[in-house]
Amino acid sequence: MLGNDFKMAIAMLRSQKWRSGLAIFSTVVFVVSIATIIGLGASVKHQINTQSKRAGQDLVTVRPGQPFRLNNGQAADINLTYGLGFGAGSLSGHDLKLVKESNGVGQVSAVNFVAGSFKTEEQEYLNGSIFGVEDSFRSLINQDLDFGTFFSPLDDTSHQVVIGRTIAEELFKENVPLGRSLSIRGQNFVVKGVFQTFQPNTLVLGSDFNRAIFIPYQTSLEISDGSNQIVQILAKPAKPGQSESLAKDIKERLFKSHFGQNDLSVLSQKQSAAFSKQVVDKIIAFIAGIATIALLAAGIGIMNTMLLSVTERTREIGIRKALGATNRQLLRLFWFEALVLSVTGAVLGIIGALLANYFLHILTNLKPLVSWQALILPSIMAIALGILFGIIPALKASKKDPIDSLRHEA
Amino acid sequence: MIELQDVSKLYGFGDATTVALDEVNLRIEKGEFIAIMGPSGSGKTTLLNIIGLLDKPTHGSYRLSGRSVARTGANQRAKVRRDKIGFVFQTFSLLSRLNVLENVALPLAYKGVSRTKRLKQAADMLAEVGLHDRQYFMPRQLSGGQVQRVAIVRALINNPAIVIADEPTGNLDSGSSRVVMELLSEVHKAGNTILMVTHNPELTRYASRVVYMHDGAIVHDEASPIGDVPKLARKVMYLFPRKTEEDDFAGVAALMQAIPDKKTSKKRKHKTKNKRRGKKVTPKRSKR
Repeated sequence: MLGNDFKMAIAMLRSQKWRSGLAIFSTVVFVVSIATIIGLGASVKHQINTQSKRAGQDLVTVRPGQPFRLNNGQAADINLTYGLGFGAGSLSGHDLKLVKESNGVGQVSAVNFVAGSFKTEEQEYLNGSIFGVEDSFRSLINQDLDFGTFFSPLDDTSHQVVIGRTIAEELFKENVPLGRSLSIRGQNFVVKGVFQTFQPNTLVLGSDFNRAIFIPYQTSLEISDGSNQIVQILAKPAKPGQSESLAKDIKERLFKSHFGQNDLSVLSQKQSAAFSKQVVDKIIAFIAGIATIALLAAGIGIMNTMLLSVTERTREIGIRKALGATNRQLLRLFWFEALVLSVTGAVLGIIGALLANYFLHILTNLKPLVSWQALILPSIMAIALGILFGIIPALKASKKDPIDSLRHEA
Repeated sequence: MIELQDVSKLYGFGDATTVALDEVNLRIEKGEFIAIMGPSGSGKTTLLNIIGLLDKPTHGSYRLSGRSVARTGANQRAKVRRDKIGFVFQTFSLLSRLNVLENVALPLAYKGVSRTKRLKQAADMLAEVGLHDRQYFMPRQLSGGQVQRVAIVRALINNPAIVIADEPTGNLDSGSSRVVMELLSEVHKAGNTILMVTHNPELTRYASRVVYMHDGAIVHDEASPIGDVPKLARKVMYLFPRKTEEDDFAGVAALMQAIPDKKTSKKRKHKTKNKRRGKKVTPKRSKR
């Protein structure tokens, strides 16, 4: 009986190709979009993990502002401007000193933001950032240089600059601009090195290091007339594996120094990564929520198709009842059709999602990670959809009065 | 076998009550071929619906094969319909999206018979009436007469107690009508009980009993030998009523050929007979 219902359902849908096709289409759109969105989220989180490992598990980051209000240790109310370098003020030179005095601290570097732009003789570069960093910066963030070398401890007041890849390409328009010069606030700086291309960095939200230039920390103080605008302090413990305790110690010191105000955060790498992932999760959930509107559209599409089908087949329902079909048998028949519609949509959606994933990989630099979870969730939702939205038309069909139905024109 | 006692069907209430059936009493024995005639609105279809368990009487009792079925629930009635009643409708008797074989097998499907078995049974029955070469056709590929014949086979597939036909030849031309009625007649001869509503008095030749209805009541009920058009039916005939010996010999189908068609211009003996007896002669068809 079940197999027969199934075959009848397929025959029915094949005879109404356009209508069925549209209903299936909306389901497919839903499945593909949800799967892709989840996949993108998964890939970003994967990148966070990779960067985390890359920068070294021991890195401790001090930033002004709080990433979120902790509510029993869970992130609540994420502060999206956290780490963007503005809005929450900055750290002071005193903070830097305290960090350098912490227990078990190894390398430390301030990341001092210098306002303004820089230029060569030919053009001014407006889209870049200027950071003053110490010689330990390079090893703290574990990033190599393509060309040239980074600052040494002796360079701390020199007028040298290490630039990001994009700057090299866009400002100097050559691959190896070593020895070329640019000027910041009227002072000349010589290019000492070019960084490797930075991977999209979610650890420092809002700044692309590829478009940044780095000058020695002391020099940065000099050219800003001594004013500090430290956006980050990076530190590593002297002994590996001690980052949690180092972070704790730094936090205590700074907390005391700031008179008990909780206006900065000290995060270990693990905590940073966790925070970033939570942000990603929230964003993804939000977008997926919007995509759920597509779910509604899909459901209504299926219900519409089925309602039309039921109305068209009024006389057929009458004949079936006259031949002895019970209400339940008719209910099952029409419900099955809705199910076939949604299952087909789910299956085609899975294929579509894999295709979309493939094309995204090839044509863009988005690399969604479409795991089986990303596919199963929308598929189950789609099938549940068919069950839910299909029952109303099916009930309508089963309850039709046979005599009235027989009077209907076919 | 079928017993209706004081069956009434009322619609509406208060001032707007319509009496579709007015205390109808009817008894149908096995093996009868009953034709129901009457003007529109006389309640023929309502009576058919009640006998066919598509509808419930407001008052009265209905016993089918000894069981009282008047007050049973919808699901129960559906099952009895499936097992004991076969329907043939005037138009669109078959489901257009299934082929002939599946259409015929449909009542068995609702009974729960497996697919192979029921299709085989359907094929066998179709072969008996000579339609097996059309078994994979879709209804729209068949002529009207073929559709109705398939519908009759479908009505018989569950071995019903009664076959109910609501103007089965209503939409067919005379040739197809004849073929369909011949099939019904064979079905009747095989022992089945048939209940047919018709407007065409000629078709009452096939019936063994004719019931006349008017305004929801049965006004006349007469047995009628097969081949004869009973008295009352003749009054509504607009075709030549008499049959001759040679017609009698040729069978009922030939009798219906007594309708003068465009080609023949037979002189009928009975006209002179009528003239001699002083009976009123039915007007000549001008088309001769």
